[in-house]
Amino acid sequence: MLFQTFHFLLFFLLLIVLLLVFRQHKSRKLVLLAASYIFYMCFNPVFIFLILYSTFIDFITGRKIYQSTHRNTARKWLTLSLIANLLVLVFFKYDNFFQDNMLAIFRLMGYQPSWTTVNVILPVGISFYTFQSLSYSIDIYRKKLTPTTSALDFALFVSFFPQLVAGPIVRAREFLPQLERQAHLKFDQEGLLLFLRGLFKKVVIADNLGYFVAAIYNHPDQYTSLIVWLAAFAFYIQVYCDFSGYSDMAIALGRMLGYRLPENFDHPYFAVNMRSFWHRWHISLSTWFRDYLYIPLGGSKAGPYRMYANLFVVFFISGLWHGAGWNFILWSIFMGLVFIAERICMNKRWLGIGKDLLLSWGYTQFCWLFSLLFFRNEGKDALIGSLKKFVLFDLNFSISYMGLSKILPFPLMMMVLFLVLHIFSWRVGSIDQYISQLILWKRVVAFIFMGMLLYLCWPTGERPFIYFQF
Amino acid sequence: MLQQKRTIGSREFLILLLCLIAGMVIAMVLTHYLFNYTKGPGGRPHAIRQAIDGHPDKGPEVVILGNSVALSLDARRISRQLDHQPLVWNLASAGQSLLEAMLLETELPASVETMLFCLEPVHLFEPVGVNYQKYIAWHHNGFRFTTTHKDLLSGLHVPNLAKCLESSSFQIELDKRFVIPTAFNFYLTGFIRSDLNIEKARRDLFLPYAYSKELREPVLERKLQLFHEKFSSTAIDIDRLKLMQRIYHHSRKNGRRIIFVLLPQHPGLNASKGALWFRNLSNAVDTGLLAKDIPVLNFHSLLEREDFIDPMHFDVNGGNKVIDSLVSALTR
Repeated sequence: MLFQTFHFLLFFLLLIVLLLVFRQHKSRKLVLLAASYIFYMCFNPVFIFLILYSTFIDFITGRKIYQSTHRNTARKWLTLSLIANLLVLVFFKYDNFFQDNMLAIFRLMGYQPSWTTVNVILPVGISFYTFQSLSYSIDIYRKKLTPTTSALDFALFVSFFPQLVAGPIVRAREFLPQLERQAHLKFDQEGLLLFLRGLFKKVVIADNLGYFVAAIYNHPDQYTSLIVWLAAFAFYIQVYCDFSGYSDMAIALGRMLGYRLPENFDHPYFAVNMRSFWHRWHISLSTWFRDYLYIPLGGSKAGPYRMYANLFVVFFISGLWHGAGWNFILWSIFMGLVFIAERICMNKRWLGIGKDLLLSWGYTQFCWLFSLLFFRNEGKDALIGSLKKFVLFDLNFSISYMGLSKILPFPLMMMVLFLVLHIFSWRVGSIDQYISQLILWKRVVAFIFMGMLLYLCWPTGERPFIYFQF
Repeated sequence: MLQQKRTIGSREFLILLLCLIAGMVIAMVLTHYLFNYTKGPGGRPHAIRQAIDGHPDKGPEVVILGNSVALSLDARRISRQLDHQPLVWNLASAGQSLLEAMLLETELPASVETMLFCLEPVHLFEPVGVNYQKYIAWHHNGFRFTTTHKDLLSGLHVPNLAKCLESSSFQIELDKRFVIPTAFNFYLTGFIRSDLNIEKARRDLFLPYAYSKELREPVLERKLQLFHEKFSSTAIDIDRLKLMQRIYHHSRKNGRRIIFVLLPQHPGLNASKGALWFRNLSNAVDTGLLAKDIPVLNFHSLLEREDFIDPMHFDVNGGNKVIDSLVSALTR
């Protein structure tokens, strides 16, 4: 069930009615939990057991860790939690990748294995809720959090539907205290504008660009370099609008239900170095890796070489988190190396990085755009084809080539629209805040116009969110 | 109670939500009324509908149906070459499939005696399909699949047909919004491809030929190469064959003469890898269409390289050669 569908609208309206009927604190939480489970089961009912499993494991281990009088016992319970969660994640996420590569290795060695491979279906959002659930046990182990005594609260923390399948990854210490107080439904202009911002990014920009990107990346070798560059730029915009659009809608829905979810994006396309970029892009994941992986590995305190190694490990695992494929591994290696090179350049004051603002911005955004070639092309042929076209520019500037003139103009307009709105949003702080401060008649006109634009530019087919696959 | 109302939502929220919905409704109504007038797929069905409704008494005797390749067939030339010089219309349009032609057939005036169904040989190997967006355009102009159509299509594998048949009128109304991006693409295409006369392709019922620019040689070669890769199938689609048979017998029952015309292919497709495919096509026509008693005029190797402007479309001169052969076959 996608946020932008009619089914979701019905689901949400029904939920609101139920929340108005059940006004007691505990009953409302029960309704929300049931709604969250139903929401998840709409993707695949069987996988609800995975959420129940994760909830059960971490609720129990969290309490055991807290109750352990010896540090060693606490560590054993934490290890159990880590193994139990990561085993499931690894199995569902990497089993196909492992099987395919084992087969390839055997074939390379001249063997023809007789076993039949099992195609494991990836449960939607598994990486998100596993990380969320894990942070609970780790925080208790680190004594930063007291475990909740309410199984209901914990189950709702793990499965809260607005952010269940694609984040933001919420920390227990941010969310559990909110569940202890009575939440009030809140339908105000700010929430509506935030939801519309997300919806606009998703359906108007990302989905319209998605058709163009898919058409090119399915056969990059059939197009000119100019078109492949345009597709790379289109995907650069699409992935941001798709993911940040989802996050905006999730935060807005949480707000309407009376809960605050953390911001996940902060104008990453204005970042002037990779470090700043990762402070602005998928913030909840970046901070998760910082707090639960980079710092425990020693962070930057153990000398420069250790820091570079730590950074590389973090990016490598981040690549694996995103997906099981060589393209994600290559993506993570590229990003890790860029990050390390940037640190060295900034420390040594080489190449003007960090000093010349425009150059720094250009390099940061280009590196990200280039890295997205790995991110987008899962197949070997498509990846090699697009890399070849991207790097070895063929100087063919014919736009009407391959009949593209019929599908190119509208996505091009969407790219321009995004750039205009993004710059405007950066200049004024936030477009929704800007609109909310207009006088009433101007807001009325703005909303009518938004309604028209949304309707007219909403593609007829449904496209799932890119990050659902992670 | 009062306190509860205050916490749930503000009046402002409600007003703005209503404005948003109002905007969507306005856009929906606008889309409905502008559908035929944007440079989208609504133009051609609209022009055909107007022509059909505008000639209730004196309609054409012969109609040409087919996709953009058939646009270069001059209906007046056919008329001039036939004995009693009947009125001939070219109702072909870009991407028109066999199913679209069927949709049209039911609405044609009673005066129509002969229908020339133009087919591209490459399409013989593909399943009969229908483009949902084009179906919306026909639906918008009053063309509907009838129970007769459904009978003719029963048991056949037709991609997208279920979506066309199962979508409610409201869903179709909502889905009409695709016309705005399409129109935008067409308008800009007009700037990029000044050689394309889209208006002529929409309005003209005699010679709706829209192209005037030949492809440059390297681009043409590349496109021909892609054609080879794309059309590697060698077996004629059995469901398409069945449907052609059914259409033929159904029309004969209704007193109409149907002739399938296999349009010429670019000779470049007969080179290298394409040679085998070309031979298979000839076999398929002989063993498939002709063996099933489907009347087919096979012109697939009629034209020369210079008659084509790209791998698919031949120019008016090429079209005239097709017409001459067509009329000679019809009058034989």
